[in-house]
This record gives sequence, C-alpha cells and structure tokens, in this order.
Amino acid sequence: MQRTIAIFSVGVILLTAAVGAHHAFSAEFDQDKPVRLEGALTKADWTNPHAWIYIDVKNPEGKVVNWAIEMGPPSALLRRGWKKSSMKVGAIIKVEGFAAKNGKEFANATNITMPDGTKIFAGTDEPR
Amino acid sequence: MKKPIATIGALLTLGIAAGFAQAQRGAAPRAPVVTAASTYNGPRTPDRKPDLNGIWQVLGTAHWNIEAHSASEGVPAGFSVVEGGAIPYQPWALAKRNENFQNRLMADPLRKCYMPGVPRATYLPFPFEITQTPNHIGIAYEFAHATRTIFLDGTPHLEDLDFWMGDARGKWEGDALVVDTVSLGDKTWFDQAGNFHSDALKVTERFTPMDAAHLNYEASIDDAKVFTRPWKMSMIIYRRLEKNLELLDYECAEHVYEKLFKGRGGKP
Amino acid sequence: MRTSTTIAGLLLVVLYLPTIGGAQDGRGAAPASYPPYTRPASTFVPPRTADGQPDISGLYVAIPLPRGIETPLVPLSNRAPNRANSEFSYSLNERPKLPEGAQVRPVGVDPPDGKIPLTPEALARRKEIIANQEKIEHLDGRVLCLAPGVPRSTIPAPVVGYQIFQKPGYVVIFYEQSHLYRTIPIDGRPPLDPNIRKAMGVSRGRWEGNVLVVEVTNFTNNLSNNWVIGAISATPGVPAESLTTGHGIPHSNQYRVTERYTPIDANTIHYEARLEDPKVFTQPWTIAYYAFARAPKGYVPVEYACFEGNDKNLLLMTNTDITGIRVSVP
Repeated sequence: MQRTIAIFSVGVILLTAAVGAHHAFSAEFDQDKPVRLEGALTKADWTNPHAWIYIDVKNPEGKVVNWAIEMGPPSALLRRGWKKSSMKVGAIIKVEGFAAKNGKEFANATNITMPDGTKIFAGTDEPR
Repeated sequence: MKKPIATIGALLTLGIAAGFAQAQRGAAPRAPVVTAASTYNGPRTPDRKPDLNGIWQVLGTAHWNIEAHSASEGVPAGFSVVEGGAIPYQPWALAKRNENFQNRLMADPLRKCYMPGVPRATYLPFPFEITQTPNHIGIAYEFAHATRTIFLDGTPHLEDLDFWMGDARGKWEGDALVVDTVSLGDKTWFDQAGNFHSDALKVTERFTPMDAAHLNYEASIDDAKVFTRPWKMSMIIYRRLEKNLELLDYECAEHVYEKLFKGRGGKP
Repeated sequence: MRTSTTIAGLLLVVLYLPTIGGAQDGRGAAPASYPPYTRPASTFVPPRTADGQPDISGLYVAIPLPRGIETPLVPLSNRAPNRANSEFSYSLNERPKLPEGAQVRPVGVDPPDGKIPLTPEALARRKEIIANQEKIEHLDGRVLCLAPGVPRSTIPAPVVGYQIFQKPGYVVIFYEQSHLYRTIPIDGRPPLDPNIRKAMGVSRGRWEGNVLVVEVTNFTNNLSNNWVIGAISATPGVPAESLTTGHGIPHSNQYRVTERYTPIDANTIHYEARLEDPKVFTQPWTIAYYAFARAPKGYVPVEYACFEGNDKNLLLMTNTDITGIRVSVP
C-alpha cells in the first residue's frame, strides 16, 4: 500500500553554523527540505557506512516512486537492537527526515516508525 | 608385532594426555578426549596452543577458480580444491554461476574493491597476518586491509546480521583451531570464476597445524539455498619465512579513485 | 583587570560569532589561558605480558573530544545539536569518562596557541581544497572511505572502537572504523625502503618504561585526499583560513609522526602525536588528549565496512557515479 508524501515547510530557523556540522549530510541533504514519507519496504541494504532502506511512496500525482532512505551505520543500528529481520519487505514504514539536495528520491532519516508504532532513531547524525 | 602395538600405545597416550591436559587448563569440564594424534611439534604459546602468530599465505590457483580448470590467458591451470571435484550446485544455481563466470570482469565484487568474504580471503594471492591471544585471534589481510576477529571467549554469535567478513567464533579442538562464521551476507564470491553463495551461508574452518610452517586448511560450506548438500574445500597454508616481513598495502579503493581522477583530467 | 576583561570579552565574542555565521579563527579561544603542556605523569604500573611488555591489550572505545573548547580538530560550535542521540550515545549507553583529575584542554598543545602552523603554500592549497568540496577529487579522504592515516584514525569518530593486541615483538591495533589495522614491531628492526608506502604509514615502536613510543613514516602519497587531521568531516561554510577545523591539509611524502601511548590507569590511555612535514608545516606540532577508555563489559567490536556502501553518498555529494569502475586484482 502506498501513502502520500507530506512535505512540511520549515517553521524552525536553522542556523547554518549550528547544524552544518556534518559535511556529508549538508553536502547531500537539505535541512530546509524536511520530509515525511510513508510506504511499503521493498529492500533493506545492511551496508556501511550507511544502511539504506527503500520504500514505495505515492507522489502527489499518484505515481508510485521508490525512495532510497539513508540510515546510520549498521554497527550503530545493531547496538540499538536492529537486525536484518527487523526490516520486512512489504512492511509499512514511516520516515521523518530530510530530502536530498539533488531533488531526486533520496532522503536521510532522522526517525523511522515501524508498523507496530515503535519509533526508532535512525542514527544518521554525524555517522562519519 | 612389536611396532604396531607400540605405535597404538603411543597414539593413545598422546590422545589421552592431550585430553587430560585440556581438562587441566580449566576448559569446560568434560571427559578426556582421545583425539587423533597431532603431528605438531612446533612452537607453542604460553597457553600451550600451537603458535599461529605470523604471516601466512596460500599457494595455488583457488583464487582464480576453486574447481579444476585449464589455463586461459593470464590464468594458470589448476586442480580443484573442492572435495569430490565439483561444487554441488542446485540446477538454478549452476546456471547462475555460469552467468557470473561470463560476466566476471564486471560482476566480481572483488574488482569493485569490496571485501573478499570467507573463505576467499584466506586463499587470495596476498599474505595475511595472524595475531593470537587466548581469547581472540585477529587476522589482518593485505587485500583492502580486510580484518576478521575470531572470538575464542565463548560469547555467542552476532546472528541475523550482514557482514562482509561475517561473525566468527572459534575454539581449539586439540591442536586444531575450529572457527564457525555466520552473518556473511550474500554479496561475496568464492573466487574470480563466479562461484557464489546466498545469505544462508555458514562456513566452518579447521586450521590444523602440520608443523611450524604449514597449516592444513579445510573450509566446510553450508548453504541450503544454493547447494544440494554441504561441501568442503581444502588446501595448505604456508608460513612466510622471510625475515622482517610485514603486510603492505593493496588499497584497492585508491586505485578506483586514481582511475576516476585520471579520467577527469588528472590528480587533484 | 583590563587584560582579563579583554580576554573574557574576546571569548564571549568568539562564542557568539559562529551563530551569526561569521568566521572563527580560534583567536582568544582559550588555549592562551591553559598552562603549558606537560606529559601526564602516570604512577600506574600495568601488568606484564608473557614477553615482558606493559600489558595494554584489550578492547577500547574512543573518549569524545572536549566540547566547547577550540581544538584543531573540531570547531567550537559547529556541531549538530544533540538530536536525541549524540554521535557517541548511539554506540554506547554511557559516554566514556576522563580519568580523575584529567585536565580538559584543547588537543593542540604545541604550539601553545593551539593553531596549526601551516606554510603559506599549504594554506593556499587548503583554501583551494575547502572551496571545492563538491568536487570528488578534493573530497575529504575519510568521506571517500580512504584510510584516514595517523593520527586521524585515533581521532574519535562515531561508533568507533579499538582492539589492542600484543604478541612477542609486536603491538597490533585493530581499528573498528573501516577495519583498519597497524602492526607495530617493537624489535628494533630498521625502517622500510622509501619506495614502500602505506596509507597507515610504517610503524616502528619501542617501550620507554610504560610508554609506547611509535615512529610512523612511509605514508602513501599518490592521492591528495590524505588530510592529516580533522574529526568527522569538514564543515561547509567555514573559511579555510580558520585554523581550527583541521581539514583540507594533505600531507607530503615527507610526513612523519611520533606517537606516545601512556597508560594512565587500568582503563585509560593518553595519546600524544607529534606531526612533522617540512613541506606543509612551518614547525612540528603536537596534539595530546585522553584517547582510549576500556570498553564497557559486553562490548563487541563490529565490522564497519566503508567503501562497499559508499557509492550513493558520493553520488549525492558530488554527482559522481563510481559504480562502473573496476580494479584489476591478481
């Protein structure tokens, strides 16, 4: 099942200096483009330096688009109890994060909500 | 018939002594094990294990192809290291392996500078270094500075995870080091010829010291998604005896960027 | 007193400047008010290994660098806010602690002002590199998943742990991050041919009492992404003239480092590194800090591959697709 995207305009003033701490984050993702995504998991890549999950999301035009969501390093995730089987294909995943600067369907996850409602910090803050 | 009796007696004595010694060392209490006589007469560590510290390397052609093969350009002919000769693939998997072979120059993960996995790391044409302590064995590989840490401390596996070099737990059985490795993922190959596995792979390695400079190495492969039965490969690991040797670099990723940067107009 | 008011005033100014997006140049940023660096005096006597080395073996985690203090490694306030978890708490439930009485000070201890003494050429180079961070050729080597070398592999980074092994004639360090390792012979063998280069350098160690001293030379130099220092990654928007970030300083083929590992107590190792490179620095300079804390019980070092999963990040950072490149292997 697909869900719609909600892109929130930023009410918070984020000062460059205060949050631009991680080169890779601000070089890849846009802190002025927070996103909320929801969709069915198609794949989970337990890779370093970042784990990636992929979800099918219905865009505002109704088309289903596959988004790549960056999470933290597996070694950080597993210390929070993640396993390979934590992510099941077909499960509806909610993602809060920031969209990629290049405008394509990539996002960096701040938080992940599993189908049972458990919220899991994706741990991408300063992963390198 | 004096000789055979004396030999048997010696064997039994060695076996019982080995088992008794193990019990003495404070291993989990169990009946003395009558093991096959170890031929190992080489150096031992303070905790009486064969001393595997040092730099080792495999000879032969397994890194090109673990099955028997004739030569092709750049690739010497080689014997199979697979017990029984051929890998017992399921029919779909054999087709997949053949497809991998056709595509190997692009499809081999090693050529993308990905870590080689287990047991391929053992028989790459690069040395590796063993650092041995009572609770851990660290193996450093010259290729892409891959490492494995083998836990001998009885702690449980990290399962349901996905590591390029897997999660390894080991124990000594007499003078043989037995290591079992899980969580290996499905992205590595066994060689350059496209021999592959699934994420169900579990590998059991036996390092049996023959003497100070040779280990008999066997790797048992268990993957019910790909093979019709478990199977085994075996080969000799040779100690590098040159003085003052150390592992050098094969920093594969550097070579990726060298190619890339050259293609874009030179060094940064 | 006028002087102290002035210094305090400068401190206040520096602390607030970053939020206005101004330059930070580290001036007045505390180092002048620290006493001159002296090596930590340790009365701790470690046990001995079977071959008589002071035993420092075991699993360790990184002690986070001091926050709120300028260092040549991390700018004063350009750190992300603690979004539920700091970079360390997602690996451990408890941050490693400094030993009793440890002075919290900037990690740059010599020269005393804590600034990295760059040659004019190196500074010009650095400006070019920092200004071109969207080009893959100029990216931080760590972000490319190249080995960060020495001492950068001992600068705390998220999720990082270490395993120190000792065997007769050697100290061996396994670094969790990017599965790096160093084998440090302590048998007095000669250095290697200058044509042999390693990303982590070639190490030659010796014990001076309970202190492990390591000379590291023969560093690789075929790419210029080998920045010698800098925690995590460079901060965009910070001018290269800032000598506090540590980024954008690749070393030359003459780079060498002298390290000192001092066990302070059973749970802490202090680290000092003297960096020399006559083509890059006007004088040798030194960093020192409490680097290693014994890992908590139950800590398991975990594989941290890097290059294998990095291609999407490179695409997003520099719009470069490296997925088609293949390297010949023997």
